[in-house]
This record gives sequence, structure tokens and C-alpha cells, in this order.
Amino acid sequence: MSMALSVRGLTKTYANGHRALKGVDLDVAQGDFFALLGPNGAGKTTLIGIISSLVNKTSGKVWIFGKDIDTEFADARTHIGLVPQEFNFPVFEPVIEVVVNQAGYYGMDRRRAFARAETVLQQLGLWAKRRTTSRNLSGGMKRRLMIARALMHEPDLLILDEPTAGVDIELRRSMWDFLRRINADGTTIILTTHYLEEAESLCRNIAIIDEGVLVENTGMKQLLNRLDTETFVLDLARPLDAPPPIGGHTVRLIDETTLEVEIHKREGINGVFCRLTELGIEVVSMRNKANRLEQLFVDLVNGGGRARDVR
Amino acid sequence: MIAVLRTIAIKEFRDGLRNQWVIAITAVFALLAVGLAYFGPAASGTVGFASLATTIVSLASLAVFLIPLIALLLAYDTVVGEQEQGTLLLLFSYPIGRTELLLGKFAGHALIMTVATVVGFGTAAVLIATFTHELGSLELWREFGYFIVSATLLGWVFIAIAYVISVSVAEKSTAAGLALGVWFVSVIVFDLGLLGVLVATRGAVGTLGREVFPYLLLLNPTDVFRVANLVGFEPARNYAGLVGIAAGGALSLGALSAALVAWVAAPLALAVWRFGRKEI
Repeated sequence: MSMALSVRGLTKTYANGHRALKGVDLDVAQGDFFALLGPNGAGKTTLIGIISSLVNKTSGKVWIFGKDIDTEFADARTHIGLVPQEFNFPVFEPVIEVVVNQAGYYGMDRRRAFARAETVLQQLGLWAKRRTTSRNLSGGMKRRLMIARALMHEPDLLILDEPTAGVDIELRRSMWDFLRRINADGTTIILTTHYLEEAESLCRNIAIIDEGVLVENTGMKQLLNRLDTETFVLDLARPLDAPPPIGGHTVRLIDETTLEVEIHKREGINGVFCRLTELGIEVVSMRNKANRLEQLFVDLVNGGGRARDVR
Repeated sequence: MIAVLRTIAIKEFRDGLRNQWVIAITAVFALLAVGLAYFGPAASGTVGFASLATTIVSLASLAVFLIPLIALLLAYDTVVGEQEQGTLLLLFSYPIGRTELLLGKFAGHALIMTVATVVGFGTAAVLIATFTHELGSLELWREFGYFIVSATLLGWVFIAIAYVISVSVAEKSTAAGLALGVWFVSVIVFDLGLLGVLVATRGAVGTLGREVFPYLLLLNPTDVFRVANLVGFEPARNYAGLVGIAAGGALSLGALSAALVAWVAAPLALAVWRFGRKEI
């Protein structure tokens, strides 16, 4: 299988002695939608920084579509489109200039760049705002502009560092749809996010990094299959004083009308409802308590000690 | 490579347009030229447009202070400013070479200085020539043309020097201080120092000094500019201090022009070289 990204023995020690990466090996296949997760300070941004030539590595090798970032840096960089976490476009430039200049940095002539800009800005719903100064865009539009800019030179590998941070749910979902579309069209995507449901919903493969080491690197399905239990939250029609006895399940009363039930994967949920009916307890609604990936993430990263870092 | 250079240059020029640098410099040059031409004869008890030749000599003397200062202010933070903002790192994540980046920025800044000089001084020249009825004088247009070309080159020289400063320091404030220091030395201290040396070694003026002195002026681009603009105006040399001596001497207009071009190329090459080795 051809690799969009290969990383071998990557280490990074900062001048203050902090070892951000301690020998990372990673492969991302062409066409993949890949999640790179980890708690704050785990080394995600350092890893992305090295891949996109923003940070100098201490040792190790990185290839982008087979191009060594040390010896074939121009070729390697041409394959990458980076959407950093912070807005870093010139705020006084109109939208169209931001994206056309970006294409120019990759050697695209201005006529082609304007044509490409129209396509990309249309796709991201920014064409009507093309003459607006970037600083006058809303937060969501600025996020989309960051993506538009990264796509101008038609990169084969798009790296998104928390692209939906601070974005409302409607816009987040429209961005997910857009990312799914460009991935289906062949663009390999690496995504870092703190919204684990985002990773679960979008990505086919996943790596989890903690304290500079990859603690997991597998398929999303394989990872989720490891979960033994799921927790459901039940909203009750009438208040209870104490958690009802439901044999074989852990039950917690969160407040007088909210019940939490842990159910093992081997068992169905019907038994729980039969027992609740026997006890005369009426359930008005039900939802999955936590994102499944979130549970695994907490388990994998220091046995749950860092759960506070995950939104 | 050309598309990348053009993109960087256009962005730099547009930034100059957006933050009013181009308009401000153009207006300053035009006002300076028109003001000097109109109020120049005030010492003789009258005001009004003097001849173009007199205006050029006065302009050269004043431009020598103003153009280096403007060029240094325009370009001192080119690299160190982007480094402080973090945008330099981002530029390096694109397939852009450091030489391309610096040359592209230089092209943009050079274009700003060129437009401001040509439009600012050119507009003033047309105005002055109209009032002094010298519009048809080819000789004067040639002289004014040379003044504009040499003023543009002088601007480029100090943009290139500003680049050397900008790639050599880690903080914008240091670059600003150094830029002002360079300006002070080149427009004031250098001539004073040279004068001091001449006075202190007056015994040698008749022999070594008279031959070496014009060439010592080549060490300062502002003096090269001044001498170049005095070569064609003999009556004005008496009022031009030290450089007046050199203007009547061995340096031809061609040699002086070549010296200005060399003063652009050398610091620019040094800046490119240092930038290539800079740790970001």
C-alpha cells in the first residue's frame, strides 16, 4: 500500500530539555482519514510541526508521499496543506488575496490561482465574502478561510489541527461533510481534535500519542470493538428516591429523574427495560452517556488520569 | 520560481499600498520638491519657482537625509518582524527558498520606493518646469531624470542595508535602533569624520589626500548620491561642502552610478547569505 506519510524513529528534544517526541513510528496510507489524538502536551503539535517543516526534528526520518522532508523538501512540502489551530492569515487582506497569494507561494500563476480560488471559496461558502477583509469575517468563516487557503495548491495530504475548535455544531457538521467529500475525492486527511466524537465519526484509522510515545495505532473499528461496556442515561417520567435494583447492571441515580445504567456488550438492553417496567418506572427518553471513543481514550492515556484534558 | 517571486513582491507592494506607505512617501517627496523649488530663493528676499537646476541641487542635499531614513524605516523589520509574529516559520513551511523570499520582498520594497520617487519627484518636476517655462529643456529633463534614477537607487541601497540588519538580529527593537544608527552614521558622522581626518592631517591634503579623498566618499552611499548629482552642476559645488571637492574631481557619472549599483548589490548579497544561515 502506498503511504501518504511515513515517520520513523522521530524524536524531538527542545532547547529546555523537554523531550516532546521519543521515537515515533507512524504510517498513514494514501486516501486515509486519520485521527491523531492525545491529551494537551502529548506531542501532537510537535509531530505535525515537524511533518509540515514548522519545527526542526532532533532525529528520525519523515517521508511525504515518498519524498524525504530533509533532502526533497520542496517536493515534500508541495504535497501538504496545513490548517493550523490559530488564525495566521494577514488580517488586513481581503479573502481573495489571502488565498491567491497562498497559491502563488506554491508557484501557481495568478490567472490559475484566481480560477482555483473561485472553486475553493464556492465550495466553502466564502465566495460572496471574497472582497471582505479577513478580520471582518465571523469565527466560523475564518476557520473556513484557513481550510480554503490550505487547499489552494491542491495538496494530496491535508493536515487539520483542531479545525472545529470553537465552531458551532451546525457549522461543524457542514465542515465534516466537506472534509468527507474531499477525502472521497482522494485527499488524504490527518485530523487532530479534542472532540472525540468528531474523530469517531470521520476517521477510519487512529493513533493516540501520550508523553511523546504512540500508545495506540489501529483502525477505528478495531479500537471501538475493545469496549466491553456502554453507559446509557435514562430520563424518567417520575422522580425516584434511590437507584432501582436491576440485576447484573451497575445503576446510579444522577438526580431524582435521571438514571445511569451500565450495560455489558454481551447483553441486550431489553432486559433492563423489562425490569424497569416490572418496577413501574417509566422511561421518557434515553441517550448514550459518553462518546465511546472518549471512554477508550481515557483508558489508554494514563489510565484515565488525564480525563480533564478532554472536552 | 518567477511566480513565487512575483507573488511575494506583489504582496509586499500591496501591503505598502494598504498601510499608506506608498502614498505617504510619494506625497512627502512631491511636497518636498515643490516646497524647495518655491521657497528656495527666500534667502534672496523673494519666493517663487527657481530654475530646475537650482532645485535639483537643493533636492539632492535634502533627499540625502530623507530617502535613507524612509528606506530604512520601510524595510528594517522585513525579516525580524515576520520572525517575531511567527509568520516567517509559516512561510518556511511552503516550498519557498530563503533566497526567493528575500529577493521577492526586496522587489516589492524596491517597487514602493521606485513608484514613490518617480511619481513624487516627477510630478513636482512637471509642476516646476511648467511654472519656470522650462518644459522643453531636454538637458534639464536629463538631469532631473538622473536625479530620480539615483534617488531610487539610493532608496534601494538602504533597503538592502535594512535587510542586512533585519536578518542579523533577533528583535525588532534592536533592528530599529541599528537602522537609526546606520542612518546617523551615513548622513552625518561619516562626513564629519572625514572632515576631521582631512583637517587633522592637513599636511597630507596636498599630496595623498587630494587623490584618495574622492574614493573615500565611495565608502558612503549617501555621498556617492550627492556627488553624482553635483557632477552636472558646477556653480552649486561651492555650496556642497566636502562632496563639492569630489564632484569636480576624478569620479565620472558612470563610475558613480556603478558605485550606487554596487552599493545595492553588496548588502543585498550579504543579507541573502546571512539569511541562508540564520537559525529561526
